[in-house]
Amino acid sequence: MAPDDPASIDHARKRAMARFEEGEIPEALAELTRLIDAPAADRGARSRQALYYLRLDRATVLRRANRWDEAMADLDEAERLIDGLAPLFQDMCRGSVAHARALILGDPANPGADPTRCLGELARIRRSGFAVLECAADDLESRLAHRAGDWTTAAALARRAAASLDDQGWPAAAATCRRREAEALLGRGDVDGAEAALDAARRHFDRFGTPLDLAHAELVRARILSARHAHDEAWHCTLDALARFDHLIHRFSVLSEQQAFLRDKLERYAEAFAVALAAGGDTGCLRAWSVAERSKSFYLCQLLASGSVALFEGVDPARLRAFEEAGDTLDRLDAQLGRLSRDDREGEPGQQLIARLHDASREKARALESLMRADPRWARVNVPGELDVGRELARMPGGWSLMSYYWEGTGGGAESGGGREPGRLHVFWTDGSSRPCHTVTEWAPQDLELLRASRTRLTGRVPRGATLVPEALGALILPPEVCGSIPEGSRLLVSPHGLLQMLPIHAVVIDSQDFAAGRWAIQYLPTLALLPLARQSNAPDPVLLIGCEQDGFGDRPLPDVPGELRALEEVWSEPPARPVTRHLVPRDGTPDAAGAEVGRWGGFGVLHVACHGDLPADRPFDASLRLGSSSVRSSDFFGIRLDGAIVTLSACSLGRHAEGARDRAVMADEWIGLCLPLLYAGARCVVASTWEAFSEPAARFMRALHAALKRGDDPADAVRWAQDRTASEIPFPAAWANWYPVGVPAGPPGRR
Amino acid sequence: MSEVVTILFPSDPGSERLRELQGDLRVLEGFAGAGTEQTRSAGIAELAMWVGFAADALGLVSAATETLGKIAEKVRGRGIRGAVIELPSGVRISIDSASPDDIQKLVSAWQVEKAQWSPRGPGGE
Repeated sequence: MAPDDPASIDHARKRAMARFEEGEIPEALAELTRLIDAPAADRGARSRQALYYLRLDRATVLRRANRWDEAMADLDEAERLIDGLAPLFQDMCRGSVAHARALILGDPANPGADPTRCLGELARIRRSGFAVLECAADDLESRLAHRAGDWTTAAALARRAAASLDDQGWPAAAATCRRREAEALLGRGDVDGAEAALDAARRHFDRFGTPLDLAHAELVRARILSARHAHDEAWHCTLDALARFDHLIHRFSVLSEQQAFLRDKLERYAEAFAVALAAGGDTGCLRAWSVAERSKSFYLCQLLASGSVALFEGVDPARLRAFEEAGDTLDRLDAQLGRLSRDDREGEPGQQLIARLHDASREKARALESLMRADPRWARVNVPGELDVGRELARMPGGWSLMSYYWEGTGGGAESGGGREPGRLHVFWTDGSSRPCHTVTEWAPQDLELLRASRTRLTGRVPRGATLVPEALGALILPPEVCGSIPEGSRLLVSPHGLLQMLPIHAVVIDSQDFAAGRWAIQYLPTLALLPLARQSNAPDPVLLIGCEQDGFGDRPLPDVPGELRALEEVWSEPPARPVTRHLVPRDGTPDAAGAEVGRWGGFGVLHVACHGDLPADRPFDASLRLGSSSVRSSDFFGIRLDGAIVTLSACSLGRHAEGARDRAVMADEWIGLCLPLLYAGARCVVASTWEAFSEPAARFMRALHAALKRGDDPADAVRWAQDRTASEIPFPAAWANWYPVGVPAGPPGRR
Repeated sequence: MSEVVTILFPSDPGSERLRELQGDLRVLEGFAGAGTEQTRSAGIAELAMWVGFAADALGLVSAATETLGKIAEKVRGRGIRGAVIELPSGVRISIDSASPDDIQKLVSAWQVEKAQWSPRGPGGE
């Protein structure tokens, strides 16, 4: 129960802020929210003062969690409370609120940053006349200069602010200013000055610094050492800093909150990447490659590390019911929408239904987040270990080459990242002797424009005769040194990044002659950091084939589906036969009614689903397979365990993943859609389509794919063979390049 | 067959009419094949018919403009309204309202893009 007298509230607030200082951001937020939401007795100015501090402190925590809009709302509320405070106190409080606002408005990672308003708040701070706020204004101006790359001004202001803050007894704030001074001096090339400033900051941080302070300071130390060519020492500092950042990032069990927290942290990983690469040679290559892969798919990695925890086990039945009911409401609204005529759908009735659908989706997302938040073990029971790409290379099964991409800068160029414009693409790969290699391709603005145009085209309906990846981009994505050193016929495991996500690299044309898929069997993986997290799998023998010719959502019939399922049944029934279960779900049926409820899918080693698919770009966890009158949704897979199953989704666009979900900062590198929950559930490989699959070619492709799987081909080889077969019958890449496999390669026992 | 355009129908013209249209299109110069196609996308999906041609049928702007104009005539001739021709670049031409000049402009833009995207690669010939 929350306290209701001002002194106790104040004490509880300070306790919550102490947790924040320890890096326990989700916990501190939960505690402050509990205090704010609790109905407290109104005891006049003292109560209002306690509430003011609660709002101001929660705004600080929210700002550090990069939840800027919520922080601004708290500051508005704090400002409203100021009027009821003692008059002498009011000016100081207004200055504090202005300072907090200015920090948010001047933060370049904030999509709502507003430099003009930031300067306005800065002027308010300066007018307040309080010495401590004068320091805060210097600090803020130093930040702005730092972000503008004006190193001299940034360093001078940071130094002045630090000295004043120290004089007034604010050592923590002074240390932060000194760290920024060190960074600014480093930017100017004054390594000695940077080291002196950092040493001064660390005298405080080493004793009292928060985990974030320590991580950041350690990384600055690494950069200083790197500038002095002490690469090994720099690397040790980098590893220490990244471990600290990782630890903070992995504290979040709610995906959207973690992704928000990550927004500005990727810049730190980019700095670590530069330190690692500076070592040069194979050492620098392997270190930088490891950092690049560590900076992708944080949530997916921690989910897999905690793969033994099922989201829906042991949770509050009321929360689970709310989640399930929200899913049922979505199904009902989807079906109603499907029954509307085209005119009605595009008119007011459709718009109303779509608005209700979005409300229901938000309700479901809230219910899902509440499940994630309520389970203390969810995504947090184990923290992923540190990735060492060199170690993983040694453990790769024979016949595989690895290739990773990393856009230099922040955000990987993902549309949602708010990062700088990428221009340099780092390509890491292993050659025929498993040696690590590295090259960089320089992207001109027109190349990036072409890449974006290509990505836009490869969404939704892709015309049958479309050129998929502009040939001009071929050598930038697959440079000649890459193509020349990976033996033909190899399996290639590709970890894309940012703007290369969902691009069919297997459809890149090499030397104006052939598609990449003609040379290698290409499989994708969100990050190589998933390799050490792969579970030992023992996929069961039974095969599940489930599909729907005519669903209850008003979608067009799919006459190819029954034949596709029958053909696959024949394939798997050939000696040595595997037990096959085939279900064709009728329009008003459900997988449950057919005896194939999702909860039982874990009993199959091969899962094939053929039906209409839907992946709403802004609602990735609502991605669905439409089977009869119900949808199997992406989030349903959080509740099942698949023991190394191969999953083939013969439906539209379900291989896509979100690049931004509604108002949340969701990074493309998390593969949020069906891939994330299926990989978490334990699928060994997911084969899905990244754009709308043509129905008849889909049936052909799947028949060839399953025939290859049946004869024991590795999924990557099986996909390549099926692509080749489909291409020989339908010579247009749009009809076969939409299919791609995602997953961790399986190898001989003891290797992986 | 090296070039494919797609005719998209907002509502189902009926299988009989589509078969007849397919027959009509066979007489076009360079015709290499046609068929209906459907995707596995949820929601209101357009019914589509792909029409394939030999490379030279659509290789030049003038030839492509003439061929696309004839496709439009055949579609209109079957009393189908609201259909569009989709070029491989994704550009759509309204059969009901596009003038020969409009078609020529869109085809010219497509040819420029084609040269930029796939000067020599597979399928580009």
